Amino acid sequence: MTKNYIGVINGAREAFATGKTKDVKFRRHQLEMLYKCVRDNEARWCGALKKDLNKCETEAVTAEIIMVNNEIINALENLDTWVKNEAKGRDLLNATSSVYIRKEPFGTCLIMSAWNYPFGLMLSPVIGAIAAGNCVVIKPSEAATHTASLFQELLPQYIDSTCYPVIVLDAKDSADLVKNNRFDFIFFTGGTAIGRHVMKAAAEYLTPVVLELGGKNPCIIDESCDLRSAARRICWGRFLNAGQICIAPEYILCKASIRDKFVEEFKRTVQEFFGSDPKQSPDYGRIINERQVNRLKKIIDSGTGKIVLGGEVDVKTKYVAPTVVVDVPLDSAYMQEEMFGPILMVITIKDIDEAISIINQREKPLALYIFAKDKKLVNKVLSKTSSGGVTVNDVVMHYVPHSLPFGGIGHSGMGAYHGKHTFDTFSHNRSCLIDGNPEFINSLRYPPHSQKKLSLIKAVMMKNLKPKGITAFIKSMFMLALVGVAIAYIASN
Amino acid sequence: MFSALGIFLFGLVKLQSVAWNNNVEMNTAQQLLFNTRAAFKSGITLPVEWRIEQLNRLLDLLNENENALLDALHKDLRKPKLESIETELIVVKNEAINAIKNVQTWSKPTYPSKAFVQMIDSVYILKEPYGVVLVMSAWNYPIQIIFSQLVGIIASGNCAIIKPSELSPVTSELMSKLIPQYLDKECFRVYLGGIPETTVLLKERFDMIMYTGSSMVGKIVMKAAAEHLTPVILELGGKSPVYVHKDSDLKLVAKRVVWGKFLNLGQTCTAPDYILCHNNVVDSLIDELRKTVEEYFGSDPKESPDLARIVNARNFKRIESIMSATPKEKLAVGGETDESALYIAPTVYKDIQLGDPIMEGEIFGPILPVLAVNGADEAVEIINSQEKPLALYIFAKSDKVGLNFLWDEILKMYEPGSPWSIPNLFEIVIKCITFNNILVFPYLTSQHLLVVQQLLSCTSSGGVTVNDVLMHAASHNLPFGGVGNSGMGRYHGKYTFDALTHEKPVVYRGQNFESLLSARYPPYSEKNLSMVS
Repeated sequence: MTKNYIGVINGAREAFATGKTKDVKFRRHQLEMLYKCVRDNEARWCGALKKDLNKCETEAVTAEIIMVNNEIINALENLDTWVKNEAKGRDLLNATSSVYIRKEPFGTCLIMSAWNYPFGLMLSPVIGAIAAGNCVVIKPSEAATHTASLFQELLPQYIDSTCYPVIVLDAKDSADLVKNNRFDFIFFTGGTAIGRHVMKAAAEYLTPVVLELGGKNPCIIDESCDLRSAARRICWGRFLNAGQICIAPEYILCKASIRDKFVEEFKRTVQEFFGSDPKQSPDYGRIINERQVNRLKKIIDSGTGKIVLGGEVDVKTKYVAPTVVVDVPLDSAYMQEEMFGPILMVITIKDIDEAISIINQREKPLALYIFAKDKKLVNKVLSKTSSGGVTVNDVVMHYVPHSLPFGGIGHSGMGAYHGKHTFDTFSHNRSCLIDGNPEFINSLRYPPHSQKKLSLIKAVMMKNLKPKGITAFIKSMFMLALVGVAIAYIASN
Repeated sequence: MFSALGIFLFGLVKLQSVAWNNNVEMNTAQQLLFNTRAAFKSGITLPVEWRIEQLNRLLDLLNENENALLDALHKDLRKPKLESIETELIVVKNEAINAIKNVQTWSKPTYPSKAFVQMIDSVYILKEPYGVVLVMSAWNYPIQIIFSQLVGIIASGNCAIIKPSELSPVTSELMSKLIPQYLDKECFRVYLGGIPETTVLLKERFDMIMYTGSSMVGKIVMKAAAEHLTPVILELGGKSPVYVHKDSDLKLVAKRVVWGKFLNLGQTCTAPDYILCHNNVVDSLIDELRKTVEEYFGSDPKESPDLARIVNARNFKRIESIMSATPKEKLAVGGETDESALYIAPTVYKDIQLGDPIMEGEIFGPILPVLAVNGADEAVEIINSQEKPLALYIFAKSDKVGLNFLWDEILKMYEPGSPWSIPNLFEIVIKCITFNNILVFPYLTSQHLLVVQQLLSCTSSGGVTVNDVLMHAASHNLPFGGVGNSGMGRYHGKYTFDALTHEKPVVYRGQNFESLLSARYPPYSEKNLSMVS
């Protein structure tokens, strides 16, 4: 199966060339079928997620199925508006022309997804790509085995399998896939290192890429905030999906004065959420595979920092306990790569400037969180740091609304999606101008040139910063006349 | 652009080791970037007032040095004065004025609509500059490209390292003198150099790279950018086709195409590259092209002051080799060359087939091949057999224009027997003059619209102009950029600002309604699930 993906890609390319995906009715029908595919098989999707990540039903439904469901509904509701040509303003130079932007699909896109939210992260870009009229090669992560095979089984039953084929490949074949095949667009969700390889391979064919990568997300806690609600919100975001979420708060920056109080609140919250033995809790997830568990175990065993909560690892059941580490040195193993596991670091700072400088010394994160009542402090952090997105006094929430573009910056990625932004990402904005200029205006630019032509061109083309003297006067008189006509018209009716 | 490519590749293979071992060079590039980044980190570029002031200084630069700039362009490319003003200076000034007027609005946070669950939060998008932008420019419009990108860079609050092309040395030298004189020395720095210096520069980590040039070098730039996960905007070229429909006004086609093709002696990335002409009119079109070339440039174009020159001997040889590979009997207009003056006459070839050498790469010179086609279907097929071009031009316009035409259309569309009424008539007029919701002035008939529609929906290209050339790139209300091999990312006007701005979403909520959130917290129950759903 792995080797015949070339035939599948060519099939998608040919299907695109027939132009059938450009038909808005076709797109709508496919989205409706995809919606059915999600809703009809809700239990099966949840089952696959349970098997892959021990994801409990509530998490699977809220973070994946509802997300995708709402994206489809949003796309269906707005498709007709999105695909419309966008009229643009005219200058004096093209005052009688039609100036507009056509929304066109790129062609055959490749969408590669990650294993931590194997359902949601796979389908939400696919929805935008279908809505924009592209053909899509859908490549779920092979690490989430059950979900991947469910994609292979279910999607062809609902949506056009020539235009939207599903392929599942191992790591080596995936590398070959991007290296040896030319796509018109590549959308990748995953780690920074692989993202780099994808972009390099894409450069060979000048294929545009969107990279949704991760990062170590800081979370600043100011003493002005309510520690109890902060602890609850952070605890929820950190241990969602057993910490395997790219926008989780990874390390806390707080002053020594509130550190112990925060840790106490946090411990209490973990107890509340998952009981005294989180291993028994049905609401606590597992790590995707043994390789990842061992990676986390190595970090915990590194001995730097003081573990104040959790720390247990069971490789066999792929369990890592909710863990909190304090006194973490900035150069320790904990602070190197994205943690992607249920471990929260707490770093003490002297003041907010130190927090800002710690954040700025590191790679730009995908998300930044601030808990504070002090608005000035929040705005200072917002303007002095950079990150993909920000949530203040909560975590993860900037990911939720369709109206916000979600994406990284620097090492946390490039390009953004969600809602209409996904449609825009997968659309080529083709500038169109239908000329309507009378020939005498055009003839100014034709050779042979003369001084007279030059001054006329300047008069027609050149904008002025502020209309001065006579021009301003004529303009204002003209506007006044227009208003007069309008009043006369209304009065006569 | 092509010459840059050859030397660049050579540079990468041969000179890399020299450059890497050359500590002095490495230090220059790194030092430059270090200083520029320090300037960005100081936050000096963040206040909008500062940006407006810099933009005003940029305008001063252009106004006070107009003659020096025109001279430099003349020395590099023998660009005629009107051309320089029209396609370089005015474009940049308009960009700057547009930015000065609007940057206040552009840089304000935007407030998108909120989901129901976020009614009590404030949700907005902050406009954040990326940091240090590398601008690598081309030699064909050395002033326009750099400055119009620089306008966007200043407006969006980024800093820049500007690498003008070494192939337009006089202009590049002048800019390296003028930019520090007028603009902030810390934030905007010029880096001069050829291939080895550029190779060194590209190893460094920027926050954004804007490259204008050839597809081959574009790939090298993007690969270098991938190393640091730097986003890129690539403005590349391509073979931009012109389709001439059977009942077009050929005189008008010739006037506009000859202007666009021989502007800057064919060295324009959006220039029409080849003509696909309907069988019926191909001979008359060639006649018209011949007449127009003579009308514009006289009987001996070499003497015309309104024609630029080829940039260097390398490019001259490349174009000449295309010409010598094309049989003499296909020559319809021009054909003279003079290596010592770097002059190639405006040249038109007829009866060209798809496999001919002239149809292989972007021509980027003053030779115009004409291919005869059966109609729009064949034109679409030929266009789609090539890489996606930067521009597509369609000529489908009758010489009958104006209100008469509208009247004819109204009569044609009006169903006999139905009563005349004002709203009814109004609707028909609207139908006649609109096209996919876009107002079209009554110059196109419905048949012509069908042809235009077919070409638009069956092909892909960076941009399109119907019944003219280049004009879609001249409007800063439209985004300018390529697709596929002709590039990625778009700029001009507000689009430059957007391309250089990270849209940072912020969800700002209070800590008051903790109980409302409890539904999302474990331990989960059926009740949680139903509440959340």
